[in-house]
Amino acid sequence: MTNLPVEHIVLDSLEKGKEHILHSLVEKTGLSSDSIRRIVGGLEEKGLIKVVREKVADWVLTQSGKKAVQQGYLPEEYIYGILVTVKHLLLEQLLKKFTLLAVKHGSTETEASKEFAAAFGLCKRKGFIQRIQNGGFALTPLGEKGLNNSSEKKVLEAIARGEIPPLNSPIVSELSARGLIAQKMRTNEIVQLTEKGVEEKKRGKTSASIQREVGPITLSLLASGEWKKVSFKPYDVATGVETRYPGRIHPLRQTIRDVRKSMVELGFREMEGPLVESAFWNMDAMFIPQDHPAREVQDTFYLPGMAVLPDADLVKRVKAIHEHGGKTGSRGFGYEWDPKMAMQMLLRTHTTATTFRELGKGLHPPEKRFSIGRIYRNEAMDATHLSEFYQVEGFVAGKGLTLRHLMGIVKEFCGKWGLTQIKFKPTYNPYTEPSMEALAYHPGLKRWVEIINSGMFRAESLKPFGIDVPIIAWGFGLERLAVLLHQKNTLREILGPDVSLDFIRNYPGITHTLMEKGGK
Amino acid sequence: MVNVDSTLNDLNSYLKKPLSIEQLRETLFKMGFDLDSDSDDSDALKMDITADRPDLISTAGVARALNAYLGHQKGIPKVDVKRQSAYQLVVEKSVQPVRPFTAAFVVKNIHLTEEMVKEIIWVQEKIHDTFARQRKKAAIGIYPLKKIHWPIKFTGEAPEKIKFVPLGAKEEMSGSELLQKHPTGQKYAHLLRHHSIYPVFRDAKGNVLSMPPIINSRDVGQVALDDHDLFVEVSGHYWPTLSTIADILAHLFFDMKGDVYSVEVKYPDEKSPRVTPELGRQSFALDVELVNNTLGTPFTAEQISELLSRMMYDVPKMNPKQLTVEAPSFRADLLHPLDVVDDVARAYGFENLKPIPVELYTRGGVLPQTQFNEDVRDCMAGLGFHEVMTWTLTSHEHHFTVFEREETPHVRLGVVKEQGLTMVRNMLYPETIRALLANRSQPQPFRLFELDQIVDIHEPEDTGTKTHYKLCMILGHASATFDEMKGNVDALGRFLGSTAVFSPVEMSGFISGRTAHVKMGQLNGFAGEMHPRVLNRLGIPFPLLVFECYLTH
Repeated sequence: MTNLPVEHIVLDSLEKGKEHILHSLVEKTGLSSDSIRRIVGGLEEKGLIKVVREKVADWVLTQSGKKAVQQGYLPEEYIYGILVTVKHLLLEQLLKKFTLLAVKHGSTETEASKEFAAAFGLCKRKGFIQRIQNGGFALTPLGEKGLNNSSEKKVLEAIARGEIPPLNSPIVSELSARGLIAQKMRTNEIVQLTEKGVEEKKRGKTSASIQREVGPITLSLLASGEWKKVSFKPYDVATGVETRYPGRIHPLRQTIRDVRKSMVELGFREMEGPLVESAFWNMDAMFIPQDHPAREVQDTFYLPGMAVLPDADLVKRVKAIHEHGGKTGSRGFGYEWDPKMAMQMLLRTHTTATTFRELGKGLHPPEKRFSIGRIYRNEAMDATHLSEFYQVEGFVAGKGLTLRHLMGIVKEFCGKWGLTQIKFKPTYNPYTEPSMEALAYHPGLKRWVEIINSGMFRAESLKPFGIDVPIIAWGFGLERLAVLLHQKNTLREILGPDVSLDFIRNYPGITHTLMEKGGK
Repeated sequence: MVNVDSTLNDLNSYLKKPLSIEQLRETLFKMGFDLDSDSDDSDALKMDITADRPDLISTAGVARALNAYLGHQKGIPKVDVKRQSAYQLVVEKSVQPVRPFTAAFVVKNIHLTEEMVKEIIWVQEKIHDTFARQRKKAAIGIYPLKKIHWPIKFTGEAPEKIKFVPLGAKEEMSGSELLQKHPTGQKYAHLLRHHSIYPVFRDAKGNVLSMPPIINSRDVGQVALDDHDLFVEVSGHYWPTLSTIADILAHLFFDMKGDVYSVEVKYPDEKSPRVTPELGRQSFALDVELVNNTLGTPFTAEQISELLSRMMYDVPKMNPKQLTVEAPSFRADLLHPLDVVDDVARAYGFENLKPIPVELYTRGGVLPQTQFNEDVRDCMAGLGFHEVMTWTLTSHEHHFTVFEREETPHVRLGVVKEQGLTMVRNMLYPETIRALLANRSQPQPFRLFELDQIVDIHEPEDTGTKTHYKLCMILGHASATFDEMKGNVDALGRFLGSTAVFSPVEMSGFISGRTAHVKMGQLNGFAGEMHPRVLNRLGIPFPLLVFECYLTH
């Protein structure tokens, strides 16, 4: 007969002629109870051991019993505690105080009234309390003595410790009747070696190749040095396990970090501005005429209230330039500039408003600045249109900057994202001239996509701030880039509360360029 | 962007040398416009024109620019304007308060086809909707010449006195009835409603030609295919715009092979009439240095002159340092010599400008607030939280009522297109929780955070508001407790180099006795367990813990 090493471990743990409780083998052998059961079943079949199964009833604590032991109080002791202080109470008052105490110790009101009924009955039966003249109840001398340190409590605590109480004890019946203890049936399994088993055991001891196989390594295995004598059970390393989710930055935020990094690497310094703006900074300062369609409610979120205009001289210069070009060499728009329109408040429609606020703080060229921020368009939301989204904007201010430099910096930025084929197309922006659109060849999509809008700020917008060097500027909506990078179809899958948490938990964490991605 | 719908055949009929679709696409691209491809019908064209070029809102207009760009018709496009003394229009004092200006001309001997009529109507509507700002700045009227008795009067009259049968109607209506009953009248009523006098064009016999900016009379104002003579007028509030539109239309009809006749428009306070179309020229002094400094090019004056001739400019005078250039009157977008420089670049071709690197030394960097925010984000991720990004725009109902919050000062929105948006958030957690609600069916536990902006009311700022960064943490799962949240907040506190101090506080929507004010160094916030009433209302079946604090002072 060939036996497994684990079977020998179990055989070794059994002494000839002795009865062993199956459960005790777990501790003796260090194997799990499931393994023990399996092995015992196998040994039983081979006739090496015999197993006697008997049903045994144990006394165990019920929930109420556990509670009583935990708190150290039996319900009748509450009654003692109340009456020893107050001397006597009417039944309703006693019940009320009892309930308060019981609830404080974790019972529900329903449980409390049941406990009261049992405790009150017990106290009356044992003569611990009596009715007095005014109809209330008070402790008897017997109660004053007996309710402290009752025998019931002693037995309950013994059972809690796992001791077996004496058979047919009236106290046990009392406790059971009160629902503090209950009987639990258990199957006791007694294992004993057979003659054959004794033989096998002797035989197995001479075999030198026995080695105990161990599952999870325990602290005692290491401490005792037993680990030197055991072999380690092989696990199925390919099997699936419960999914773990590391904490994550939002995928769009990761893209923002990457863009920010690109800008800083090119020498750009970050700037930031408020979400709520005045029309002055959002439109007038950058020479967008007051009757331009983009200023209408159609596209802009106007807010109630009026903003305060900045420095009066600046406002005067802007007004003059709008009306007739001021000293810029422009002919202006030829209308009457209305300061009230400039004082309107709105949610910024582009981060260019923030750029101009920065210009208002004073510029010391050469400067390269950038911002990444939320902007708003008064649009009905659908799969491709959002009311709020992110925009990236950068500008370079310095002597001698030309349109070709603008092309250069745009190309350099795109190159950081693996977009090396760029072409430029003339376009129109109210606040830049010349203006350009940059298109990049997307290797994955295999076509040209519009990527960046750019231009040179109009002289009319720079002169009021006393800026006499050219400023080249460029920007793009962040979601377009994010949609391409994360291989999504629509903007709503990237930003907003409806973004799938599954996506946030599981998007790949490695930054990559569009070129490497190759795919969609 | 403005769409110009046309056909390749049509366009080629105006071109000196026909183009294929690909050649057209390429050339439009270089000029700064687009061709949308229409794969079903290879003849149909959808051209995208930028909003600064109203002269291109027609097939003839695009062809005009293409002819110049391709070198077939350089310089300012010509329009032969003939004169006939009978064509007079008198603007009376009475109309000046309501609609002070008009420019007009006559077209004769034009051979109209169905396509041309369609195009003319389309051009009229497109200009109305874009350049004329929904008829607010100007309105165009086109009439058959034959029924008109000259001179024409432009007067202001009481609405009830103006009676005629408008286009698209069977019965006579008064001015006021028009605004109430006729669809076009209803659409543009807001442009006249507040006036006591309405403008009207009447001919010498007193017949109503039209009531601008609303509609023509059916009897006199409807153009048919067999009409070969037309009267065109543009009326409005701002002379330069009207004149530009009149010029654009004059070019259009001239290119359509009509004869253009001027009209004398007599204004009450002016000695001599204005003769329209004016077709004036805009003159600019263009420095060669300005061109080269802006574009980074080495052009000579001659080269610049040649390039501009392909953009419909004339160059009457030049020396090595400066050119005197003239642009057509329909170029309403030219305000500054730099606008002309842009045209030089377009003629040259942006693809021919080689990019050069920016060689200015500057030091890059992020804002201290940004660095701080990112550090906090990393700490939160380290604690096992997932970042969500929700909307800053919300509704009062959701932001306050649902969470049993008292209304605290916040920014209200004005008119919105998206239903249900009424305010800007001044707190994060009601919005962060939306991410949990949308992802209810995902596996627990929910450990979410949001780190982003809210807007508070703050009088000292120029907008009366201040944008702040806040952090919000949400814990939601079957065994979520206050202690678990507190443990995370403590960890954050230590990360920030301070101790989080908790003190009991009452907050509506949160369980009394399980809510605390939290102070971490200079930063203030709160932590609390959401009340089951709110959980119930939101349909959240597990306990929810919330923490939120400011990340700016």
